[in-house]
Amino acid sequence: MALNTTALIVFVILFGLVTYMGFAASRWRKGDLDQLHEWGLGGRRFGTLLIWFLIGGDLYTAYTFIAVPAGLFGAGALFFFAVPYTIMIYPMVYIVFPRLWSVAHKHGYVTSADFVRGRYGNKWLALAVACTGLVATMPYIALQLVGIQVVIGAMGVETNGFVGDLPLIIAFVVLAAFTYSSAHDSPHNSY
Amino acid sequence: MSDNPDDHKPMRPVIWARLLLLVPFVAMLWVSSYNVAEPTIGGVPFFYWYQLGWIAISAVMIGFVYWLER
Repeated sequence: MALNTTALIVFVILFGLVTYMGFAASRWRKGDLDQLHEWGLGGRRFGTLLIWFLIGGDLYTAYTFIAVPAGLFGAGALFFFAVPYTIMIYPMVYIVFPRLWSVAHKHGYVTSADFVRGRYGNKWLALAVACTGLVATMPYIALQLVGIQVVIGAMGVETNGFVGDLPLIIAFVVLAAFTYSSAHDSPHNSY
Repeated sequence: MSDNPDDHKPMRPVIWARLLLLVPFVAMLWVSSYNVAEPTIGGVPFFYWYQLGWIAISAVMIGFVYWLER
């Protein structure tokens, strides 16, 4: 396939911009990143508006913007499940989240495993929750990587063999670096 | 709402208002009530615009409950 120069330039510029913003984020409202709640939760001082955007970024992903419309286009009304599903999720979130936030803030919980350990006092249950979270994230990350590879392939870059994996490896290392160096959820909210 | 998390006041649950939050569940799970093509709006079948309409309705309901409880 011929190299699509226009698409490649747009991609590289956007990737550069997002990477720059990712690293810039580590200097914005900087806290002591050696503390887990500073690194993971921004020291809990993000405020209502920013949290609104972050929750939006968590809920509405590439799946919402690409997979669901594509499914609707290809398979029809079946994929409209995403709409009533979201309508029913928000009332539940309204009941649960403020209470969860208060309890987590009071006791200094950072992760769901912290919460389970504090609430049920069982470290094995907490470990199981932490492991489930890690394992459940794996296919999600794999999906993102396959998605990036498809995008890179669509621009006409070779995606077979080791050389074909190189753009993907570079993209992932950059994302991992700014997630490590800065803040809450960076790659997820950027893509 | 304040930007400072330490100012966060616990909400006072208003039970009758929270029952309102069940309405979107009833509406969305009762599929046979909206699984029809007519009437259309601008060519969009009832099935689609009805569900999209419930996004706005449920948002207003949650906003109302929040306004009562804050």
